[in-house]
Amino acid sequence: MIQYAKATMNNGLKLIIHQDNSTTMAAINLLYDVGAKDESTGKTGTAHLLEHLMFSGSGNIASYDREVQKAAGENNAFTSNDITNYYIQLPAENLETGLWLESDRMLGLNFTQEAFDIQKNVVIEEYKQRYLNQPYGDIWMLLRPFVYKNHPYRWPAIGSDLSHIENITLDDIKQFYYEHYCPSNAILSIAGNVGKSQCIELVEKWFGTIPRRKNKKRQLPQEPVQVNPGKMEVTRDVPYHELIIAFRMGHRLSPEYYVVDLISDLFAGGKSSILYRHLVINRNMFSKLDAYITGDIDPGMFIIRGRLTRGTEMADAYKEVFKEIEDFISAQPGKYELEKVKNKLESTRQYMHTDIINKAMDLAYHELLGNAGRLNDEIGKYREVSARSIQKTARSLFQLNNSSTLFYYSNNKNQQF
Amino acid sequence: MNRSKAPRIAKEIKINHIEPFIIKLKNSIPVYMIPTGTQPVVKTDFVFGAGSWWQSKPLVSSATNALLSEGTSKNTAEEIAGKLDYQGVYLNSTSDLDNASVSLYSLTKNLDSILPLISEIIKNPAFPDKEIETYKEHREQSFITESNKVANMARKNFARALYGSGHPYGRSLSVSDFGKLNRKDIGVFHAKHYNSDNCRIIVSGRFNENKLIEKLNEFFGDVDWHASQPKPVFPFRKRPSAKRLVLIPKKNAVQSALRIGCVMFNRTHPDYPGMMVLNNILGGHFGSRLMQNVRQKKGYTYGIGSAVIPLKNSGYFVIVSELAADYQEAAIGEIYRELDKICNKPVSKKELEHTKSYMLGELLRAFDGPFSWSETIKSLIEHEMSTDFYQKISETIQNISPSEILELAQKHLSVNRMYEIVAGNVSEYKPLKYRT
Repeated sequence: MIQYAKATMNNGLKLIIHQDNSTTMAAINLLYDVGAKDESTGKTGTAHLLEHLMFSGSGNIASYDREVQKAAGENNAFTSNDITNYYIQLPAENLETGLWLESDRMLGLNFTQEAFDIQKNVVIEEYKQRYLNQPYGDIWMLLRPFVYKNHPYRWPAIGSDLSHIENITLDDIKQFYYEHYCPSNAILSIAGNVGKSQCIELVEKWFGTIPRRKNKKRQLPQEPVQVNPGKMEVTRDVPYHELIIAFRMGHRLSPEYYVVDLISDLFAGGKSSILYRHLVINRNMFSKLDAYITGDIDPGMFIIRGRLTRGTEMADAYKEVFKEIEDFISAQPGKYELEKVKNKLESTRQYMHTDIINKAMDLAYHELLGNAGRLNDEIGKYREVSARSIQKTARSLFQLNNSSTLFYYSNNKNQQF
Repeated sequence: MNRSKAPRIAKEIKINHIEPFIIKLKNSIPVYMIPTGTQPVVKTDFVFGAGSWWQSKPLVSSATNALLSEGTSKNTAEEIAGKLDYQGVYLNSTSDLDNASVSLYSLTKNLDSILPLISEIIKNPAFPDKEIETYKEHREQSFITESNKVANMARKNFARALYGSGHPYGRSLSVSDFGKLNRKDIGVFHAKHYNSDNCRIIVSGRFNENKLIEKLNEFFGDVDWHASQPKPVFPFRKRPSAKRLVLIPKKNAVQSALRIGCVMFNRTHPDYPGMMVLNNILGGHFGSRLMQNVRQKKGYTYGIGSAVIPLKNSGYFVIVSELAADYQEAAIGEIYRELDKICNKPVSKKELEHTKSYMLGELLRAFDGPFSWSETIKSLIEHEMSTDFYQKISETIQNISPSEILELAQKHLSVNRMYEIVAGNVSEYKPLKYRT
């Protein structure tokens, strides 16, 4: 149980405070309700590039990094398709410095052409390092537009193409910032050795004076119902074939979310899971195999992804995965099996929450989903899932017509390096 | 209000009590206890001096470690996995150059019931042939995939250049090694190195200390798993490469991986704490010179950093980056300029102050929360360092002067000591004149 207090500033900024006196540190997490899904079609990568620019000076502070360093802090940020999230951890005594820094970035950025050009380059190098210069690095670049036809989940947060990043202008970034980075579109959470009234006072001081701004309303195109199985084949310079199957699933707040999450754990969560035992160990068809959900706020994906062992035919691997799925939906999971994945989920959450950053991040995220208190209810929701509902949900999830399969072939005939 | 004026920063940052207390089991295994945290969880590490330094054939150390939980005299691999998963336990087996460990994450309430199984895994693994074969095949595939990455090409060649391919810190795997791995070697390695004389235990989280020691004594405290023979001594000699520059071509690479660095020393060396400060200024974090210059001012890379890596019997300094093929020469030029600068010009008082603040924060974070705290302690006892080592570091951070830093730089980071490895698009690469 994570205790917390909540407040809302006059300008609409939401604040969540979690007190943890076992630490000497404070963690500040600032979540903006904006992600790659809010970008326009030809300018993908804007949200992420803006995240980079957030470190290149704000209205009153020339160097964000230098000030963090002086205050003995450590910070970072990430951009997903749904959100942009900034966090900083520093000695609790220096909490105010963190709030000063974050509030100034919310008030306004420097937006110099020079910093913009440099960060564009940095992002281009990030794109190359992560997606172009790694074996199997382009799988998500291929998978997203293959599974999504309308919804902006069809591009990755870094941008769908290098040319998109290259074509973004400083004006695009400015416009995006003013449309989305406003107090009422953000959730601030503070965790650590801090007091509630102290936090509220400091947040009032630094954030309360930021004028209210109107943020752009979100209107996202929805995906049509999928009516046919999707199949896509590519060949790449990699040593082994990979098989990736995506099934479309419900959104983050749909009741099936918890059910599908548990199915992914039953499939491939740990060495005792069904697919791992059957296809990696017993049949030796895959050298690695994962099943997981993307966890997106809008309707997301259930992914099965495996790397084939040398000599295994792609068609056989595909057939066997679907045979496993058939076996799975033909009966309800055993009581012990279901109990097992629930136990693991519960303990994983406890391990995560030994860290104040994770607590601050989770509280802010659940507030975005509706209410920070959801965080404490989630384990109960997983516990409630019955064997029957697993079977029922699996039957509708794993329809062939709901699947998109990416056959990622190695160009090496013998699959030998 | 004046937003351009920074809020007051705490003058003194207190670092929490950083000493774990140590209790010995009946057979003298030391248990380092760190009772802290808010969540009802415990992390238990079993550390053995059983890294690849100690193996006489490639792969044996890491295979032994990875296969511990793949079957025991009483339980099959499947049964073990099932029991661990049911209890929500994560078992991480890891091995490196010097050490191998088994780390257990569990809910406090489940620790007692899982310890008998962990005792079996550590003391009586069966190493079944089938599991060995599967492990070999899958590990070979992952090795082949990894070998294809420029970062790994550079890393491997850097280690070889510094230590020579016959030295345990310089040698690397090749595909043919996988065929040679066998059950007998694994069994022998286990018997030699996974015993109570070679074991240390670290427990962190929330737990009842007396009860825990009682349980640990019951399952790990007996004398029945003593070493049957004394630990072997391996004398190794470094044979560094004569060539300071190594270029590894990879066709179609859009970036090159870079390593620049040289051999240093381990943490017992008197210059080590000072080198940590020096490294922090140069490339130890986001605000450091290399990151600020090569990434934030020039945009040549997504990331660059430097580190002083301590090993048990040595240590090295390394600068790591992946660079745009188009800018690699310009970027490497900047890196050498930074090295020259730090060797020739004393760091300003202000920059040093900022670095000190950052490092104190880093120390705080290293001891914040049960898991980071135990990781910090683990990294010390793995190298047989005293757990008060960070007191020394903290004193150095507070007291070191610009002239001492300059002296350290001149002594250890001069450009002519550096090896340079570039893997990727190197066909057109023109090294700087003093690098050829």
